Amino acid sequence: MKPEVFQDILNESNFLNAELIQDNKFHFYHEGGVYRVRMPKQKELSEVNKAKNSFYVELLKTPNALSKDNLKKLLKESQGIDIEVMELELKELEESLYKVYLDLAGKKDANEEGIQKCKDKVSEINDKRFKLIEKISSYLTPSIEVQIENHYMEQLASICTDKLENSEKEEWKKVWNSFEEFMNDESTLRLYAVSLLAKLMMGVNA
Amino acid sequence: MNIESIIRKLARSHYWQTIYSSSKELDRISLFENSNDFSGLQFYFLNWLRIYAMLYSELSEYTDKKLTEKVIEDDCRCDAYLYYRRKKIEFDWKKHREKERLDELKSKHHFKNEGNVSLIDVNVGEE
Repeated sequence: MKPEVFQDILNESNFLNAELIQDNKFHFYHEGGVYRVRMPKQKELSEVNKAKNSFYVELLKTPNALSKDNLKKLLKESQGIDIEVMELELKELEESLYKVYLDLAGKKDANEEGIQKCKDKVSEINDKRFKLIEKISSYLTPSIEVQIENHYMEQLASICTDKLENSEKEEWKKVWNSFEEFMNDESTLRLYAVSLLAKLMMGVNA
Repeated sequence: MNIESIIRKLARSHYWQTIYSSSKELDRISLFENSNDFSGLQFYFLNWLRIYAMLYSELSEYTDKKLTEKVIEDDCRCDAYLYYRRKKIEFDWKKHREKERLDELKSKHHFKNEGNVSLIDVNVGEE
């Protein structure tokens, strides 16, 4: 997804505030309609997990499908791109962040200049970290592991996205009737649903 | 402001801190509309509710001079303080363990005259 689309989604969600946590749903507007993504129920999760496993087996049978480790090796051998060096760099950045944290924790409230200097360093280090994380994940996107994770989120989004049909009666209707219908939808709603669901779940697989 | 910052701001607010402490005493107060299938955001919020409750409690007891209200209200300073706090706990725990080992050693060998005894780790290679 383009970064500006994701930023747009996050900006749009700013006005929700307490609604972010009052229930296990995420409400959003899209092209005049009101939508929500919700946490999957246990039964839905187990169904999606089954589909995830089948997709994994399918990928294993696919020629040229590479695991993360094998993709790292191939990138290093054929392109000279060393992911392990980048990961090491990431670790070093984390270490330098912790050093600044210890410095910042020792600053008194009155030392505004010192605090600001430390905060600037923190944001500089974090910028570098996020850029590096983005770079690593873009190189590893074709790997089996990332494809499975994306497929999993898409499956869940296809099940857990509803549209408000009647605001007075608060009637919600599923947006897509099948995963195929979801995949054939060429609107940006699909992207919104996947990224908002990922944000709502925050890595929780329940 | 990103979602994480919004959630942290909510978690440290007087409103949510009061609800959180009351919910521990009164069963009838529930924090969310749903009682199962919690979202990742809700888990994240619960985690920060607990952390801020702990920090406000430590602030009221003046446990550490480095902890002030301004530190709690600033995400970056709060992260830095939490890291420092974790390191301090680890250091104190290590010191405590060393003292325990030293006391154990002293009692084992029944030292008659207490002098300066210190404990060092000696690498004797593989056993």
